[in-house]
Amino acid sequence: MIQPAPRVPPGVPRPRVVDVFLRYLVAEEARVVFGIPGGLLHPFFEAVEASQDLRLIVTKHEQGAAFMADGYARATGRISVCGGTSGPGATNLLTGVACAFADGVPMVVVTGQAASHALGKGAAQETNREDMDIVAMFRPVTKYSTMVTSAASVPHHLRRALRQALTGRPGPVHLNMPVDLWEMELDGEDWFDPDTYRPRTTTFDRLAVKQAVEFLMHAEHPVILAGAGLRFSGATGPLLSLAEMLPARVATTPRGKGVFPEDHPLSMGVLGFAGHDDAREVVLGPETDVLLTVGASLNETTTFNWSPQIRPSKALLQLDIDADRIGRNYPVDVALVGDAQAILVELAYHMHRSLGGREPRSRWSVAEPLSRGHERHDRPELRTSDRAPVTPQRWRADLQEVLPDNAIVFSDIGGHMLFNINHLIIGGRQSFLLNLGFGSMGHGTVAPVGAALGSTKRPIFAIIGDACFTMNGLELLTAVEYDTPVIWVVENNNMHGITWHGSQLVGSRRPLDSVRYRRPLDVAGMARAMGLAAWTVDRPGQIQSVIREALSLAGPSVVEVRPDVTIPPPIGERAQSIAGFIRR
Amino acid sequence: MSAECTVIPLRSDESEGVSVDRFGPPDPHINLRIVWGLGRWVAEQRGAEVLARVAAAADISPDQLDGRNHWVSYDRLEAFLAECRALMASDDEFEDACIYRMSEAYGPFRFALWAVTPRLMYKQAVRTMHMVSSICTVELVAEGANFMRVKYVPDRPESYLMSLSRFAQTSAIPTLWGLPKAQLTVHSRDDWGRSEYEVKWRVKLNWLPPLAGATLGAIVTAVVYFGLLPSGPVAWALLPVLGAAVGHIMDLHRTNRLNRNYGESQNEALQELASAAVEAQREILELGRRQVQWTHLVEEQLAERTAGLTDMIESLGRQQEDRQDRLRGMSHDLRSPLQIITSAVDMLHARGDSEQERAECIGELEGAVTSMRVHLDQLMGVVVADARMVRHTPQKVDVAALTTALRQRLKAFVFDQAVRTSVFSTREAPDHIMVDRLVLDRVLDNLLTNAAKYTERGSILVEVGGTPGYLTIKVSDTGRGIEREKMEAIFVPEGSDVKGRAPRSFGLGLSIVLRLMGEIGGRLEVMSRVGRGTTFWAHFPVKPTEAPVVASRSGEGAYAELLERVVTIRRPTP
Repeated sequence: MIQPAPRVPPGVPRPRVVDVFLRYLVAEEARVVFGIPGGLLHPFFEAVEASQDLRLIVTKHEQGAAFMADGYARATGRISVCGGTSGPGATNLLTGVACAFADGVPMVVVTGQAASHALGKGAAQETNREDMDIVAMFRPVTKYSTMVTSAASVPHHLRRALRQALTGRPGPVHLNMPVDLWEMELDGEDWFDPDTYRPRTTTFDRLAVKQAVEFLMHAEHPVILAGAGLRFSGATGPLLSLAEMLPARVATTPRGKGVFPEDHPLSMGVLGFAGHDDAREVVLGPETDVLLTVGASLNETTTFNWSPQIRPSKALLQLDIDADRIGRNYPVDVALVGDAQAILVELAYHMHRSLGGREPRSRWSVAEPLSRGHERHDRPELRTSDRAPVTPQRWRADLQEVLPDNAIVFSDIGGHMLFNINHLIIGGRQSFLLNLGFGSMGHGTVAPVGAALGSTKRPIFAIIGDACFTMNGLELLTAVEYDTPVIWVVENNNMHGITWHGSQLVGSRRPLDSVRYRRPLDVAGMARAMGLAAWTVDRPGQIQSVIREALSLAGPSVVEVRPDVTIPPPIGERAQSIAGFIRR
Repeated sequence: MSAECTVIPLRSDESEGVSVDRFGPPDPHINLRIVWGLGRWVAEQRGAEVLARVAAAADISPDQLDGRNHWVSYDRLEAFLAECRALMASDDEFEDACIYRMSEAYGPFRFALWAVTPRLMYKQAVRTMHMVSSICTVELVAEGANFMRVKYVPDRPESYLMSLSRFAQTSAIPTLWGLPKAQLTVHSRDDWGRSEYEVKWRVKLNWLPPLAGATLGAIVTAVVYFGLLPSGPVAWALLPVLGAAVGHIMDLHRTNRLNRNYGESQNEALQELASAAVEAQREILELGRRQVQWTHLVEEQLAERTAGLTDMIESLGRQQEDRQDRLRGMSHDLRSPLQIITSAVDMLHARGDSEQERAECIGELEGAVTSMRVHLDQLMGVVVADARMVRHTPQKVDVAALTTALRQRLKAFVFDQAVRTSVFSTREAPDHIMVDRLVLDRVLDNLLTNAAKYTERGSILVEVGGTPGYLTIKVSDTGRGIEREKMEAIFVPEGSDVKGRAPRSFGLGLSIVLRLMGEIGGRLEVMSRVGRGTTFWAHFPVKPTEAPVVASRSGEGAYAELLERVVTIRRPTP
């Protein structure tokens, strides 16, 4: 309901900009603000701390604040908020915001600015548009970036920012606020209910749906490739129903791992980077006649450097909320632009009606069954190996036995990520979160803290590498301060493993020894010093009891795994493409 | 018992303090397919009429002895066994009848038996006991390459004949491989039917591969070391033949291994199917339990309401007497101001010239009018209360759990039908709603069972979503559909066409759904096309409505009003 700004009667306190600002955030279901207070953003943080509806989490670095806000939004599906004061407080947020932008995570980024009357005069940490233009710095990594220049326009810009953040493909938005604006009073509240400034983006082309259903109904070997875009749409249920109805075999992108339960009989696992052979052989093979991609951009990491074999024999159907991604890398036969849930529900319903009493034509039920058990993974013999130190494959197989069936698992970037993609089986109620869009190291280390603050009923795990731990590991102090129950499993090979192993596959193939640490790293010791419970594991069969103990503690804890460092991760085509880039 | 079965005296320490009165209502706990052979024996050796008579005496249908899954109570099976035994001369003959045509009872699976062993079969029999009985437990006590010792404990007493039937079939399993019967030794059996017994079978020695290998080895040795073969073309021809023979034997071994794997995987698939059947059976039993629970609740509330109505009638009678007294009083009260008005008017006519006197008369007129107005308001005051207040007990229901339950229920309802099911939720669904759980289950059970009853082929899709303030559950089927002109009639008690109803349907379900939805402030939508199927939307308020929603009239008028208020009939899109 639209309420025109009422004139405030005399004698009644007028709302301040900061009060209206927070009211909008709360109305959009934001509950936590991450950041580091500073002078030029002090009024905002002061109001958040005093608010009954919001919680302020002070991090150790603004990059950590942005990563945590990102993790919070990914785990809860709600918009998150992070803030940094002017100058370096703002620029420190950039990497985290870029991660959110690359993966379509809704976030409000608030940065401080010198007072409006002091702009251009060389105020401390001033980042105005004539000099170090902070708005321009954020523009490429946000959906909306602006400096608000008057108190009266704050609600307008905030609504516009929220609309951008939450409609279409979600993403981060940036508001740079001169410090003097916050305490200014407004003549009226200028309040719009969220439903009145944000359109629902659940429209779709019914004709395109019917065309897609025609192809799917008549396909003998239909395949669905599900991407991370499904997560924010809440479309995992309709996807499962559609896949079972056809039936269609399903693969996910590396970033979309887990959006389709990998323990389901129709799951082929991951296609692409560190993926599974079944997915590769079926999707790239001659049998697949119709391929439906959902929320997948068909980028390098999924398509084996844009292999032409991805195109199926009869039809490629691409479903994405962002029209700009349709046909970006492959020509499509049917484009389905819109919200994944709305369209998948419609596809399922239309399929159900169109089939009527007939059986679908899919012949997957009589095809050769998919690999199951250890055979579906890379180097399966190492998953049952008893050798010491423990192999990366074996400890992950052990971890699987005790991973709670509703766990949220974060992965960071590095060699451990490749093992995580290939060797972890993510079931129906579990989630796997990986910022592969931007691929920033440290995200998977810190984002789980934000997730734990938002999703309090699900156990949170972070399976990371030592290099990521050293990059952003001090944010574990934040976890201790706020007692967030995250279990970090740090695979410590004392080097940048993916770079060291990969260096032997590209260029001169000489190993880049500089990436190996000069002194051994004691991750568990560092964790204990920060106040976390910590254990060290280096033998097969050890990690199960440690994880059980960590879960029972219900607090932040670290499990350092010291694996056999000679075993390379499943780098595969990534090395080839890097080699190709270098040659060019 | 046969000569191979040796009975050792009872061990009865566990039978003390156990009541035999645990039969209760005849719940279906045992699968009739275990007596398929016995039924065939009676039909073929004594005739179909005798089988029909024996089955009728046990209160089962001869059609239920077709070797498929038919669950009946223990009483009926015991009665059937007793009737069959009465036709035979001895226990030995009874045992032979129990294993009559036994291999055929396994259907196509008997062709895959050569990929498994008797030991594997016995172990499977222990693991899949729940396929034939849901009120017993079987525990594997010890096992070896050619024996197995088992402890069997039924939840209720079972007869000697039941045990005899089981022992006969258990000892006959090796005959499926052409081996002699196993030796079955009963170590203990008490009156309850608890027993501990051991089966020992002969292990089949597969002598062919070693013999073939030895022969081939001898030939190769002779050729190589003793030069028995002449050189030249004969040697050149014979060696490849030998090589081919070796390859063929290796291929046979590979095939045997593959087929053994196939057999094991088929076993697993059968076990999964059996588990699904048991799960479906449980859901059906749960549905029955919810129906009974609902009936009890209705009966209790009916009794309460009857008592309440009696009190209300007495109260109304007293109120009526009060009203009559008050009316008489009011009649007197009204006459007073009327008399004043009459007098004042007469005065105005008689002495209305003086300003003061006119004012006094008008004052009295106004007073009288006010008094009359008060009395009339009292007369017109009516307490509006409808005695038909429906009592509901809203509780918090988790929607994710509800979605999972609906998925399981729907699968059970269409078990053994060629109907696909799909149940999923959307992000618009609320996390939970406050609703009377019995009402919710009643409405959903009705919609799902209707969809299952009227859909012979195709699929049923259930979407759990929401609109602001409501949980919306959409049930869509590809069933026979409803004619447009009958769409309203299906909501009226017995309003649906008798011919169009599914068997065992009394045409009452949707009328109850309509009334319940009206009482909780819910809504229904329906869309249908003959030959294409039907879709129902049930909208449940997330929070209970402020005031109960009741029909203001009774009978057909009440349903018409409810229909208009609660139901929307959608026109199907072309």
